[in-house]
Amino acid sequence: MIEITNLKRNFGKTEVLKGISLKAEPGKVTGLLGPNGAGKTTTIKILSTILKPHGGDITVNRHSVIKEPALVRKNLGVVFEESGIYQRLTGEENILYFADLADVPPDVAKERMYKFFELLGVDYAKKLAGTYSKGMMQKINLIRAIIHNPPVVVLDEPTNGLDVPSTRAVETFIREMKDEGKTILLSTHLMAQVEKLCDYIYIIHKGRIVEEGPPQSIKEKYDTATVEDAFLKVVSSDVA
Amino acid sequence: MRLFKTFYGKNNFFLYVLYIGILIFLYLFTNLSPDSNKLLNEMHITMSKILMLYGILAGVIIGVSDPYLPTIFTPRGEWYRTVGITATDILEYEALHALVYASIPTIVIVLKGISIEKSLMYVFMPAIAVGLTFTTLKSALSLLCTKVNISASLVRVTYMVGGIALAGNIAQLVITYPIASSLTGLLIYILGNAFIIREVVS
Repeated sequence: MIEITNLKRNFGKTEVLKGISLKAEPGKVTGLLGPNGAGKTTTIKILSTILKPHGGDITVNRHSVIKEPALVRKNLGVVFEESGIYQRLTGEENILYFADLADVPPDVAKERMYKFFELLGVDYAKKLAGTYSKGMMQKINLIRAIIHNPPVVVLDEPTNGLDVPSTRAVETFIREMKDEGKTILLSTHLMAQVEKLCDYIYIIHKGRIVEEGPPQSIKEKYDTATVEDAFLKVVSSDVA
Repeated sequence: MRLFKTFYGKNNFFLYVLYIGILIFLYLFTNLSPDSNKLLNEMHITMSKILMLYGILAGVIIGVSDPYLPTIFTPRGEWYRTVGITATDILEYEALHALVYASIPTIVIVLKGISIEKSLMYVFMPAIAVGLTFTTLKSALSLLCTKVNISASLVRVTYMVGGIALAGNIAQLVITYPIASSLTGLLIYILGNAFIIREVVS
């Protein structure tokens, strides 16, 4: 469970987050949508304890990012767009290294890793990561982030730049994690993906939550056929 | 040991070849005989030259091949805050790195027939001081570079060049003032790593 309460953050004199509140529940995919510069990545950085908030708090499974950042990290798996995979190690070595950092016993880590390889169709993990395409790298990145079996998973643009088969594999994997009861927070620009995956969405604009609800309810509220059209209406009405 | 095992233990054939190459190079170009045990002054001069030469070679090697940096700080030290790296991991890695650095010229001197006691005193200890200073400064420097968004390749070049300049000069200093230099090396190790730990682990 993720609970964000009245979160504020400034960069210099610019207020990037102006008091946002949201909740992501276990067994659900919660979408965080917004145009560029809306505050999504800042929110995720605070959530993953990289940045500190200037007001408000975030709790991850009841652990505060301010008071208990180490416990928050243990409960979190984060997939950033920037992979952080070591190119001089193989995919397997990368994953097992991160498992070691998270204190996962080697035999348990290997068992999980091979299960994930099967789910995501990874058959190249013995090659050096420097030889991978973006899609191959992102699958390793995803496994790396959840090898310690965290109850909460944060995905920041996880399929950005991936081809269709890789995108499909990652989406199926996200559904599997949801079925396992994990709390998933998904930040993406791909509205079709939001419609397919998200149970509840928050639209963030200019540092504020400007709309929230299940995708279907938002489409009905704005009388649109797609979430994308609803999103555009929400954002443009907020501009006006 | 987990960082060291991962980054030195895997896929680093090129690095091992370079280290062995340096060892052979130093052995061939070091003009010392067991008789030098008697001549302290000659030992000083030779050790100073060996450490300077080694510092320059190792600066290039670490710049080209250190598998650990600058990736550990990508992007801008943020990664490791999310995955559970500890202060112990960092201190341990830097110390082991310095140990590897110091062991090569020491092996050369011992192979030349110089007594182990003298090799430890005149080569190993100064080289550890150089190693601690060098490895800590290059990590701290890399972190500073990545914090201001300088590219990974530039970081590598920066600490390669910095390493060459530092290691050569520091080597001379530690030979002339071994105790003061060793303490300075230790101080740089502590302060440099305090900065790195604050940025990466806190």
